[in-house]
Parts: sequence; structure tokens; C-alpha cells
Amino acid sequence: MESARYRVNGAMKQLAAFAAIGLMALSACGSGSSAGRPTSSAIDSNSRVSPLPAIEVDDVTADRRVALDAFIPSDRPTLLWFWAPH
Amino acid sequence: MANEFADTFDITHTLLWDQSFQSWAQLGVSLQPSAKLYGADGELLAEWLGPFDKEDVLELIDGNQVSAAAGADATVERFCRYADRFSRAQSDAGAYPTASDDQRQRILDDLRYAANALAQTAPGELAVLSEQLAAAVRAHSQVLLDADLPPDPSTAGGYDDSAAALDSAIGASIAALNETCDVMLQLHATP
Repeated sequence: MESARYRVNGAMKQLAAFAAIGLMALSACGSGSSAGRPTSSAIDSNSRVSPLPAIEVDDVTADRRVALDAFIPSDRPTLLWFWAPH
Repeated sequence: MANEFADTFDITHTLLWDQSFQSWAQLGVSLQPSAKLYGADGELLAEWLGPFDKEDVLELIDGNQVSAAAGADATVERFCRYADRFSRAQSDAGAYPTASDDQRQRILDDLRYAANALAQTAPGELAVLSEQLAAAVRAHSQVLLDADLPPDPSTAGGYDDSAAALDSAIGASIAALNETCDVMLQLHATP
């Protein structure tokens, strides 16, 4: 498992130029921010064009809350990598 | 913990943390690590469980980028979707005084979501205005949250200041959003 993790991470760094997004989900690790909450489907404008759910998540690198569905579509491909530290 | 993870692995790409796991649930991710590759238009190109090969990814995305002009148009289009969303969230906010507790929470969530997304997707020339608007929405939302979302928002401590700051930010954005997106924000329309 450890080797797989490092291999994936190494690839992700190489793919950063292609707007790779590491989507990281954690549980029971309290960030102090509220959990992502689905917003009203009636006004879910971007979900008509984005394959990603309209929820807010923490952008760790930018230190702010962001809309997940705003990342796609984009001007370039996007790689989402899902991993949850134990 | 997420910051520690980023430091440990020297992560330079965007790193998102979804404490709720809702993104995983809605995208059908149940095992980790997993990966999904989307094309520029949002088409799912490939997905993996466990490790994946960088060369496979590079091959899949070869030629999948759009021109600079098309990319700029897409950026404005995406921004304007959230401008429209914020405008509609303002309209929905008219129901705040008579809404249930859950509905009042949802009204604030929608306003904050749209405002944050505006700041996140703003073209360079609108970045400052959009971030100021988002910051004002966040601050005003926090005032109402700290007061447990009273049906009469003006009873919340600090309401006058945060509402005035929000209206100021909205006022500063009206012309730019109308010109760029043909969306007209409203003053005094938020709780």
C-alpha cells in the first residue's frame, strides 16, 4: 500500500502542469470548517455542465473554501485523485 | 492534517479536502486510492483503482486542451454561471424572514457558495471585486450564524456593519457583473 501511494503521488506531481487536482477526503480529523453541503438543485447552475457535485470543499493549498464543480469544465484536462489518510 | 499531508509529500497541485465525503459518495468513489480523468469539456476519459500509469494519462489527454481564446471564453462563461447563481440566490433570500431554520441555513449556504465560486472563477480583471464580494458575504453570513440565524436578521450583533459592508461590495460589483455577464445584482437583497 505504501509503495502504491508513493507511485501515485509521484505521477501526480508530474501531472501538475495539466491541472491535476488531488481531491482529498478526511474523516474525524476536524479542520474547523463546516462540511460540504449540497446546495439547492433549483439554482444549481453549473451542475448542468460539470460532472462534479456542487459542494464546497477546502482548498488546502489556497486556504479557502471552493466550489468543487467550478473546476470542470476547464481549458485543460483535469485529473482527480482520491485518497484519505488514516 | 491536510496541511501536514501536503508538506510531507511536497504536493504542488491543487489539494482539496472534503471532510464530509460527499464528493466521494456522489462520484461513486468507494475505494482508495482512486483516480478519475476528465477532458476539458468534462467528459470522463478514464478512471482507475489503485496506481495508474503516467504515460497512460499523457496519452489520453494528448490533444485534449482548448485554444487560448476558447479557454478565455470558457473562463468568462463559467464565471457568469456563478454570477447568475448569486443573483438567483439573492432572489431566493427574499424568503429568509419567513423561512424555517433549515431553509434559512440553506439560503445562507447558497449565497456563500455562489460568492465563493465567483471569487474562485473570476477572470483576472474581476478577481479583486469578486474576492471582496465573497469576503463580505462570508463575514455577513458569520454574523447571522453567530446569532443562530434569527428570522429578523437585524437583531444579530454586528448586523448593521456587516450588512453595510456587503451592500458596499455588491454595489461595487453591479456594473462589472452587468457588463460582463448581463446579470444585475440587487442592493439590500440579502438577509
